[in-house]
Amino acid sequence: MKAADAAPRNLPALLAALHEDERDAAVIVGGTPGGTIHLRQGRIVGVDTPGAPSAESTLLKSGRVEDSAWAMACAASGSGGNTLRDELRRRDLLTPEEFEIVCTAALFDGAFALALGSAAEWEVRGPSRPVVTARAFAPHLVTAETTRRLATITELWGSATELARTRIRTANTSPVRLLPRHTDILEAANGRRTPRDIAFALGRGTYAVMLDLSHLRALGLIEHDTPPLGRPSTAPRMPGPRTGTPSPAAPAPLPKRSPGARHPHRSDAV
Amino acid sequence: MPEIHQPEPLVEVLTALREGVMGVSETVISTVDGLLVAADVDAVHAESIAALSAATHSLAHRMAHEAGGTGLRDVTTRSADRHVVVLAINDRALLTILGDDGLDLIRLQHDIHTTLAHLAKILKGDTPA
Amino acid sequence: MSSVEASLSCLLELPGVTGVTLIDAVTGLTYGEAGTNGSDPVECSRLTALIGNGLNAAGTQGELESVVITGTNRLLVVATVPRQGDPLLLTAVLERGQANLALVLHHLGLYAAEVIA
Repeated sequence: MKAADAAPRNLPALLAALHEDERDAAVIVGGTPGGTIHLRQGRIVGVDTPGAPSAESTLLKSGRVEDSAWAMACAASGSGGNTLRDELRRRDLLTPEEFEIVCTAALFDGAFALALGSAAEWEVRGPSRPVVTARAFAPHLVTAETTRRLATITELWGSATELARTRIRTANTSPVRLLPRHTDILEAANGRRTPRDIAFALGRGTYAVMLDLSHLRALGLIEHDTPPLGRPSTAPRMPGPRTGTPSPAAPAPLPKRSPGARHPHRSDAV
Repeated sequence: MPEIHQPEPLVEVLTALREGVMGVSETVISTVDGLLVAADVDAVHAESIAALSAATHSLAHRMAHEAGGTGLRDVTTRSADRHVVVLAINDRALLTILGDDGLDLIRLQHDIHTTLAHLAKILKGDTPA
Repeated sequence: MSSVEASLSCLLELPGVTGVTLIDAVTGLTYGEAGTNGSDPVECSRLTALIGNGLNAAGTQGELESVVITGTNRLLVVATVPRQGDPLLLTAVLERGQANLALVLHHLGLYAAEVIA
């Protein structure tokens, strides 16, 4: 019996088994966000998930590659054995190195986003061809990096899954000198967007945005409420600034608030 | 905040949809003749979306009919970084969903029937003006 | 070998350069490495972020260009590679007695200009 046929206990175990068998496969992962992990000869070549921007999304949104030029390169690749990487180079749109960098960044960002969803169920299917792929990584490398990222966010912010559901808004503070990418985040943080939404809006990685948000929170430049636990509340919403459900005594420290800031808890007196 | 605040059960359903499905950024409910009913919007102009939704849906309906199809399900418009989905709540009202390019379409398909049913139930109480 | 690693290994031809890496300045992810002497990617990104943010807060114009750390036997050069999107870091470990720092910095700049932008 092949390793992958025995029911694996968790996703890393499944990926390890598929790696051992050198399988070409697409692993469909359930949860919020769910996604698809693409494997070639047991190694991860791409991760698609609504939780993190794809390589294509980051390239187009950041303005690195123009949309119509990208579409033409995609259409031309595949015919005559030309890969997308070759087409992008031939058309002077991206060097192979830069294409590889963007794909690698998106792959690890996608894996991180998948880890934020409760990946309780999965299904192994035949390989689907992801259009945008450059390098392949052994699953244990991806798992190790994902674990490191989760630990980093836990250290800098608190629960990473909670941060993923948190809607961020810019605090009303006097302007400080910031890097352009930090200013962009403050402009995008409108109180409706989660870190993932900001990442899509700016064409950056979800993890990178979370790191920058941690930095901006430390400077007191952003505000947020504790996100509601589980499904969103259907209780009547009061007009005005958003309210959050007080969480039960959690082991994680409560978000820090500057004096004079709005009280985070729902007030019955409103 | 530019959010339109109607103390309306309709807006609650719209907000729940935005919070439940990744990538949903803004939603608009309109009449089939293009009037704005309710909206959960941030940057877009709700009245314009309402008017365009009516036109889009009507055109797609005609197109589906012309092509021999019956029962139009939805109209999806994809651009490089946006998804726009127009669906009928009932034969008088439309729901328009605006999302980013990462919109969780699988989750949306799963959740949309409940949302449409909720909205239809609320709108059922409307009396002729 | 990946495209990044193939082009990085050309930098090893410079005298005294024993290791080069290309990493993400924000996330600390390694995009490629060549040679025997690597540098800790996460520490490099943390260090440059600390210095960059500090310089920025202190009011310096423009972004951090490079950091050179001098040890008894070795030099660690960390050059930032600005691009559309999050910046990258190009790091090189040099043997102090053999390497020409100015030459290495020049070549790191050339690499960044040719390969990344």
